[in-house]
Amino acid sequence: MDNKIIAIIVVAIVAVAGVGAFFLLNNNGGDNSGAYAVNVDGVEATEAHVTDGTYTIQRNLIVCIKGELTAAPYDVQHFLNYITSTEGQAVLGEEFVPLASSQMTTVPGNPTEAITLTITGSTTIEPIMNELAEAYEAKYSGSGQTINISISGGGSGVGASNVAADTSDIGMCSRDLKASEIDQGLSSVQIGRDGVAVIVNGAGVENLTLEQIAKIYSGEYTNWNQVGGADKTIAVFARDDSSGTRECFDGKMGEAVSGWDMKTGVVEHNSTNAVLNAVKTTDGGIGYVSIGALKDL
Amino acid sequence: MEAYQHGLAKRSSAEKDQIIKYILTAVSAVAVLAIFLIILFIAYNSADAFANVGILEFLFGTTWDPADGIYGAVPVITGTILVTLGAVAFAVPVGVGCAIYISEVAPVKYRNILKPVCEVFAGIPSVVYGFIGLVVMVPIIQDIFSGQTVYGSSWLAGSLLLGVMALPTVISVSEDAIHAVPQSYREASLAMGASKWETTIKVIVPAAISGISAAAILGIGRAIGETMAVMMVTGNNPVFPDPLWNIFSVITTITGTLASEMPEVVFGSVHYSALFALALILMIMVLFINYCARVVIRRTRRRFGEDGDKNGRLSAIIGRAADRLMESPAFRKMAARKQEILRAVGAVLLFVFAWMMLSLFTDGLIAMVAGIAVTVAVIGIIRYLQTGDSKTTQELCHGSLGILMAMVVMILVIIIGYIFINGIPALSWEFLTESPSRMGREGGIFPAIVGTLELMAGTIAIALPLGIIAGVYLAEYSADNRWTRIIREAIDILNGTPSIVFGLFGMAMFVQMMGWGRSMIAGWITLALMILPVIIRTTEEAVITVPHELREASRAMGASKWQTTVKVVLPAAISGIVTGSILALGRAAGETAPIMFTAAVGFSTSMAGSIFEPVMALPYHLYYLSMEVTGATTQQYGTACVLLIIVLSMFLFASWIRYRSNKKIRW
Repeated sequence: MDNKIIAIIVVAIVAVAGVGAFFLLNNNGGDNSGAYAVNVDGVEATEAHVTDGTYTIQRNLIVCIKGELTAAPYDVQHFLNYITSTEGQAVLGEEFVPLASSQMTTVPGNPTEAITLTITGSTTIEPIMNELAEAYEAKYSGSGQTINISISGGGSGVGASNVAADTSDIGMCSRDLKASEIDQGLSSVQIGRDGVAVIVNGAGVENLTLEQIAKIYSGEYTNWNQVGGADKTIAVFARDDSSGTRECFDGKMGEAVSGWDMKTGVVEHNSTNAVLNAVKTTDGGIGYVSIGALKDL
Repeated sequence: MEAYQHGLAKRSSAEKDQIIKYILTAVSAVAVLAIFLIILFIAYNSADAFANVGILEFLFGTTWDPADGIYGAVPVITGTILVTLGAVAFAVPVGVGCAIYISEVAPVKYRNILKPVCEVFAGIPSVVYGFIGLVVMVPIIQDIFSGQTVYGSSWLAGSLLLGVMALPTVISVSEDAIHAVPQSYREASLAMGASKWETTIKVIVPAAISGISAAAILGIGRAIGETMAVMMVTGNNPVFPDPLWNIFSVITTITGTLASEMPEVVFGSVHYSALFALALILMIMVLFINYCARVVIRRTRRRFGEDGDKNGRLSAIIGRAADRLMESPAFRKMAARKQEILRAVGAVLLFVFAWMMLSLFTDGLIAMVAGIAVTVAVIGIIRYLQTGDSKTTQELCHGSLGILMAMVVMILVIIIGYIFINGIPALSWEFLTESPSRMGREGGIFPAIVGTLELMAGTIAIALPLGIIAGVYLAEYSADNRWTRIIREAIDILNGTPSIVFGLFGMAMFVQMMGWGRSMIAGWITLALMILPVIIRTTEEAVITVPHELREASRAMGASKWQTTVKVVLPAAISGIVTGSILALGRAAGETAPIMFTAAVGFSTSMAGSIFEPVMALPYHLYYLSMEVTGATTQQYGTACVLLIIVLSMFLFASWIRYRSNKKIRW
């Protein structure tokens, strides 16, 4: 074959593929999958149900500090009081579930000392902490006190270790403190709540009991028709071992079925978004995500 | 008097040269220091895990379950090996095919385009590959193999993605090897009446086989250390595929485990330490692989009578063992019947492979029969090609290689096209100049762009002087002694170290021990160490290619060695150095793994105020948006697009400089 002919073929294939790819790939984004959140034990996964406690798969959002809150430095107390106040909770409510109104504190007055805070930790909480800090600075910038809050991620472990080592004032934790961290003198402060919603795709069921969910995740049920749904294989998605969402979910499963253990071979994603997308694109899929993510379903 | 003055001047310039040599030697030691510190920190941090879990339990334990405190590395290591093997099974045949096409089949003018086009693959950031894998490839696998996997995320997905990422390495190294086969081989073969294709397959490829093996090994090294892409598509579960060849099973790799578990782990805990122990194992695997590659490459050079063995004792032993094996009578006897043995082994391997793959789709007996059918068919085709009309064979083979090449180019077009088609609509003046808000769902990426530029500026400011000095030292001043060999060894090791290992080292040393926290400066040093070996090497190569006559002329005019180096040699080598440095920097700009533990922050509305504050960076922002933030699809594509534009324009700039200097300079 002549080199010229080969060259022409190559160019032609590339051109056709390019045009094809253009049309094939351009219509992405039309995500009209059948993913939805199921009711758990008959309760819809909504913020209101997390707040009143009827939706049971929920966890506390916490930050950690060195020592008890009452003994903490002035600036730490002032900032955390702002977060748990009605105003701070309104900001937090944009992504997570606010505290019950009985737990909320009154909005603190202008600071009387300089506020200099370093906050590190969970990347899940980091963005909302940024918004909280921004709102805080906007509110108190007229007080005449210096306000300097620096926030960075790194993960819950980084946050806790920095607080223990006194290089950070506040650590953001997306999981509960471990015993070894409490031993280092850390204590946790609740700043809000988060519900863990169970999402499915094309399952054909509206409601699942905790026990059914547990048995799906332990591998006892492998087809949706075993829980009254469509005749489809169940594709199980979970969060990674170290996530707070997983910790909360596993805990609930253990309460529902004693001796419960996650079956082997499920796909583990290390972020909310990855699980959300996986369930969206998988017919017969099941996964669990933070309730705040449901609006993007 | 005049004679005295002349003598003084001469002596002092010689003394000066001596002092300069000491300084250069000291600076060159930075690579040795870096590799020493990296190994020290990784090993030191893993000690706890070995002590608590037990070395044997850790290395041979078959369960990795940190939640229950069980740390057995076997499933993670197995996953790493399997994913890498799969990647090689894809990248080596495809890459070598493309290399043959580029070097032997394509017309000259296409060759000059195709080679840099293949190198563009290497310029695409890992996180962009991962992103494409997640949104395009995984759903496609899910669709096509719906009977085999409900997930799509799988060993297959990881291997394909890594295979594509390893392609530029495999193509460029094997193309070099094929190109290096002396022209006389081709001419002799053609003169004997062999067709072009027969020459290629029976003369050129066998002559270049060590170079091609080196390409394969380097490809493995590239694939095994990759983090972000593989983490996003494999499903990240430390299980054994069932059966072991089930390519549709979810799987995990060492790098994926490190990147996903490290952020949440309790510092100083056994889990933390166990992750460092995994990094140590990864490091050892990579070192071993790169070592093999170097031994093979040196043997190739020796074969074509290029520079002699500068290698250490171990490689000499390995090399000699290989030689002895080849010269042993048993091997000779086998070699005499090489064709038949190879054919038989090939047929058996083909059958086993076909059977294993087919058994994933249907049950045993049918798979076996189908496997036999496939094997017979393939053997039949090969027979036909070997015995048929050589002209037809050549046309068929050249045509197939052309199609292969076209498919590779197509993959590139799809990746880049996908990002641009979806990303360009997201770009606007506001997107480029505003700060993000609502976790990055709204607003722009200005702090991330600035952060990336700041990271690049600091990185190059640290790496360039060190790299140039060390490169000049190696090229101009070093004698072939033990010290030089240690430096070279250190540079090689540093060059092969996976980027996530740099990240862990940066975290352990700068963030934790030095107490800098996540900061720009921690990111600078980490990235600088990562690109240092590339800059040293390109400098050395550029300096070596400056013809000796220039130096001699300069010395003859009375210039000292240092003056000659600075005023004559370096200016002549500058374009090579600049090209290499830009390429290295482009790679650093797209890296996520080294900065995710040291410098990057996912969300920030303002710029870093000092070098001790963390920065936003484009690759990490893309990772963050696609993993943590829901409902920011437009921003994801926009960020990917900006990142790709920055990295690719650096790449094009470097190519342009290289092209210009190639045209201008004629020694």
